[in-house]
Amino acid sequence: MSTAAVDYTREAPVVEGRPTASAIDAVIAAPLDEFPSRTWWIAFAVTSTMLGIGVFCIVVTVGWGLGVWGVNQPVAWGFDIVNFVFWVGIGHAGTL
Amino acid sequence: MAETRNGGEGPSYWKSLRELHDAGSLSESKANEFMAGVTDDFDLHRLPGMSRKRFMALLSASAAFAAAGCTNYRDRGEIVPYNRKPEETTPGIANHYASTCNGCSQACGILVNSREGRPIKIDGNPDHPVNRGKICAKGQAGILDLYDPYRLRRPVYGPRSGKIGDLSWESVDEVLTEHLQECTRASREVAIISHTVQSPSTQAVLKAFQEKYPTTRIYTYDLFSGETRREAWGRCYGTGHLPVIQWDRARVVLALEADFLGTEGQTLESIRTFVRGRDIMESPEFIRLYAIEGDMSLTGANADYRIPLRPDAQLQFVLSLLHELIVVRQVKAVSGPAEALVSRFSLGGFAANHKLPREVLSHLVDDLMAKRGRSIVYAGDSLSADVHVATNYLNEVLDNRALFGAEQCLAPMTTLTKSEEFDELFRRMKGGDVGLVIHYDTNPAYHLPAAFGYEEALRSVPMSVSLVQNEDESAALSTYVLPIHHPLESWGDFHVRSGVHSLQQPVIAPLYDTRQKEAILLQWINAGTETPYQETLFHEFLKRFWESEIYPGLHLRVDFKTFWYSALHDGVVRYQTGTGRDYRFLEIALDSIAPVGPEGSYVVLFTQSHFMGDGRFANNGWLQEIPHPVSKIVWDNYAALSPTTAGTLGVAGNDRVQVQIGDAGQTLPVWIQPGLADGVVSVALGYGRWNAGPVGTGIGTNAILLLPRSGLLGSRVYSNAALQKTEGRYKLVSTQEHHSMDDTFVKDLHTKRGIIREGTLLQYMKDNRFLQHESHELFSISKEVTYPGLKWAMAIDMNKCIGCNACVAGCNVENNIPVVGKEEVGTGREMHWIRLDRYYSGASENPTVSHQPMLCQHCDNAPCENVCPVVATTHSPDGLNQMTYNRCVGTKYCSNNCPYKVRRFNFYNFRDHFAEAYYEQEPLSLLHNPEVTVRSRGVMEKCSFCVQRIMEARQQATEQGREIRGSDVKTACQEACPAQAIVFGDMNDPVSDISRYRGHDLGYSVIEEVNARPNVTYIAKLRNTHSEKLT
Repeated sequence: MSTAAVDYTREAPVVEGRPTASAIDAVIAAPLDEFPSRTWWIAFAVTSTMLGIGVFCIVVTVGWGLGVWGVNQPVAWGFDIVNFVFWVGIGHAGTL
Repeated sequence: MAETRNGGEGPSYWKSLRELHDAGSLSESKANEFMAGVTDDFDLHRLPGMSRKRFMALLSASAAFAAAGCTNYRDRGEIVPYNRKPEETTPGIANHYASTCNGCSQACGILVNSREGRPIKIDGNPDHPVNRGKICAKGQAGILDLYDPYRLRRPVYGPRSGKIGDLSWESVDEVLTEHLQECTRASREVAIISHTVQSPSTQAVLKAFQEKYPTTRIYTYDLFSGETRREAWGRCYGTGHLPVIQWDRARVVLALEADFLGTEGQTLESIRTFVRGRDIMESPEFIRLYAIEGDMSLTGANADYRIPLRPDAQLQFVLSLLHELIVVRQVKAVSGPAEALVSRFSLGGFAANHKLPREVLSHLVDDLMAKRGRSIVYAGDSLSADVHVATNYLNEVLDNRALFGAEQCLAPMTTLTKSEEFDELFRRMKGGDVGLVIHYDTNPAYHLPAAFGYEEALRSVPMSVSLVQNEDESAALSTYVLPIHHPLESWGDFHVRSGVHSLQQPVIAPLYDTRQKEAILLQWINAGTETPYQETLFHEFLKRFWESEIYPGLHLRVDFKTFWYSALHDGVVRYQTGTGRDYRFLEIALDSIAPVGPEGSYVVLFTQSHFMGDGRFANNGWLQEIPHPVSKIVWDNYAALSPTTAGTLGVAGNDRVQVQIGDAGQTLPVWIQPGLADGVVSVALGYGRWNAGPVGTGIGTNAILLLPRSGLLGSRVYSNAALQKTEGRYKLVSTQEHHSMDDTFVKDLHTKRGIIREGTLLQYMKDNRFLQHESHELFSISKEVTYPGLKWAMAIDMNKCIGCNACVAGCNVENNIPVVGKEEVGTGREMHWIRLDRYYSGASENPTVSHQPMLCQHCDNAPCENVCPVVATTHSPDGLNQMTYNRCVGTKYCSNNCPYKVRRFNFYNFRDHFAEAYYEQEPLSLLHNPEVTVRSRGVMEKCSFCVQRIMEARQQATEQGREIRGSDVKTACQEACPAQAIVFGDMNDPVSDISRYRGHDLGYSVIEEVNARPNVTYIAKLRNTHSEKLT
């Protein structure tokens, strides 16, 4: 690590040095050109599992009926209102 | 163009200089409009010669072929429209045929609603003198059994040996007649085991069978026969002809362990006549009902005074009461056996022993004294013959005879087989003296108490035949199982009351290769004559029988054919019989009474299940799912214990106990029933079938295993029972929470919230408008909608409603309500559009019970309508709260906002979800009412006030060129209600019944203060007690 003090009075350059346009291209397009790394595969597996669960849940709900949510009479809203509030909460947090 | 310009008369016009100066080259270029080569490919003359018409024809033909090729069109064979319309049948219009119900031994007259040749609903026959147009829940829901996919479709051999296969009726006839002749030759007995035969013609068939095969003997049993009552009547009066009781003429009724409003005797008639004596619209003079019982029966729940008492103490109670009346109050001078019998008892001592409330007892004695000749003391079927003898004597002492039998009930036409005779039969069966056993539409392997050892005896008989609709426990032990017609496919006649014959006629052609049970025997009788079987075999026999046996006795002026057709039309034949026989009480009957008292700390009381009958309705999901009228439990029976008894035993609800009577034991789930007498274990029979079909197998616990041999005909009360807590828990499912008794928050909430509003008769007499003083004045900030024309409304008279649940069954059938199963009811997803709410108030030892039918209130300010985001629930101009299923997306906003919680959501496609889609199998689709949409998953539904019936009535009125009237429509629940507690009609019609009810001083609407303005009015219940205050 560099121990040199940073000079906060000068605006730091966005690009350090003077790379050619093709060099910048190579950096940016690297993930597309290379075979995905192991980390990427792990992240992909996790997120696609989550997506898969979502799709599965929707298929089950649509295929079997809302009964799978465990709601009943007179508690007609249980999972659905909680789920709704959860996503609204996330949406709300995003606006802050 | 140039010529025109030069030679023409008018001015010439030009568009460009080129056109003006060089007209020739322009016209040339116009002729060659297309550059060379551009149109080479489009030479019209060189194209194939297809006309536009031909192209269109080919296009449409190929589209049609493609469409046809993509559907799975198969010739289903039966979708041909009527070539010639059958007489009587108009598609879309229902026909009604009179017939007779076979659900139990009451043989009520029914009217079968048949559409396009398939029966879809059963109602009572209004011309039948016993049930007068009403039919109980079992009768209503019994139509499901006709279309039950589990029904046998053809004769089957070999369930006994395990190698099962189909066979033809011809081979059955051949084998059986040969075997019967063999039995006759070898003089081996042929045993026919039957239920009570109430049909004169069946009786004649059985007689003819006995003549043809003389070694035949007929054995008769019923799980619920009321034999103790009949036996006692015989001992007291020398006749087995039980009288019909005229409840409406009584002023005081004392029911001893008797559920005459629920399960015993001619319930429909009892309910009708009993509530006639509690009709606030007619007279404020009510019958006063006392119930002294160990169980918490429906009758007890409706009583003005109820005293819990162990059933085995009933005999001593009746004797003590007799002592009080005879010795203390000197009602009647008696001597001899009667005096000796009662002298040992005293009511005071008895009350002290059993901790009975003295005040109520003194009211009871005073009332019985004051209303002598106008009171009824009625003992229950489960009590011993001795109690019945003592009760008969009590009625004699009180001079109550006038209320018993201007018209007489009939004794069963066959006497029931005694236990000793059954023992003898089973001994002979084991000894090889019996060649053939025929189960004549019976299931003795399930019904007979285990102590008889029927299964073992049956296995030693070389051949046994079951004549049944569905495979059952006995059929599984038989060599041949022969499928019989459902009652709606059968001919028949019934004679259960003097002066009344009811007829049964088929309303649908047999669905399967079945035969009527009488016809099977007739065909065997005809053996040797080589006559092929004909479907009309029994029909012809029945007609001949009536022509020769019954018609001549009627002394009619019309010829037989006319008589027969009119009798079939009416479904019932009534004729004058002699006036009731004058019978005299034989005091000698009192001699044989052994005044035994309660013994042991526990007594088991076997009751009749409300909806299972003797177990024959086990495979009927509709009936399994109707909640027990008091405990509200579905899909189960249980051992009911009082809270104190449960505390002593250390058991809680849903624990299991081992009940032991003598050697017989059975483990049952515990239900803690407030109001039960301490020490009583009440168990309903008719559950725990082990071979009843996909729905009914294994539902509940078989309590017949506990029944000793004497229990077949005798008392169903067993002292000295042992109870022990066992391991494990069992989940009983009730539609109403049962913690409400103890929870301080919900206790009496129903009265605090104005759901149930009650008073006493004295309070009402003093101030007719006492109920209205509590009402609030309500106003709304929104504009009120007015309904100037016809407006539908309902009123429910809670003085008449006894909570029998017939309305629930009627609604289920009419509105295609699905069965959801025990699990789903357990999570609160039952689909019933109308429910009977039951509320307890007071102490849990002996609570006051209130029943309330609850259905969509069709509120004017309906809270559900305001919140639906897709406008799926709306209000009609005639006051109905409507559901549009196609718009509903299942948000359930309406359900959340409904104060009455009457909306039902299809959490699943329940027909598909329940029991592996059992109720989607054929031919159950025939059962559905075509006027009512079958709902699928994801939609909300609720009571529609039978809008399909309103529409039908409107259509009829339009055809007749008049306005529809409120009296044109009867809802299904109204039609079913045996108490006629439900009134429906046009509230804007000032002379209608409904406006009378709506304007009544006792009328109120539930949860009035939310100002939903419901269109269902409840008439508050009045308790006929001695006080002005409700206790």
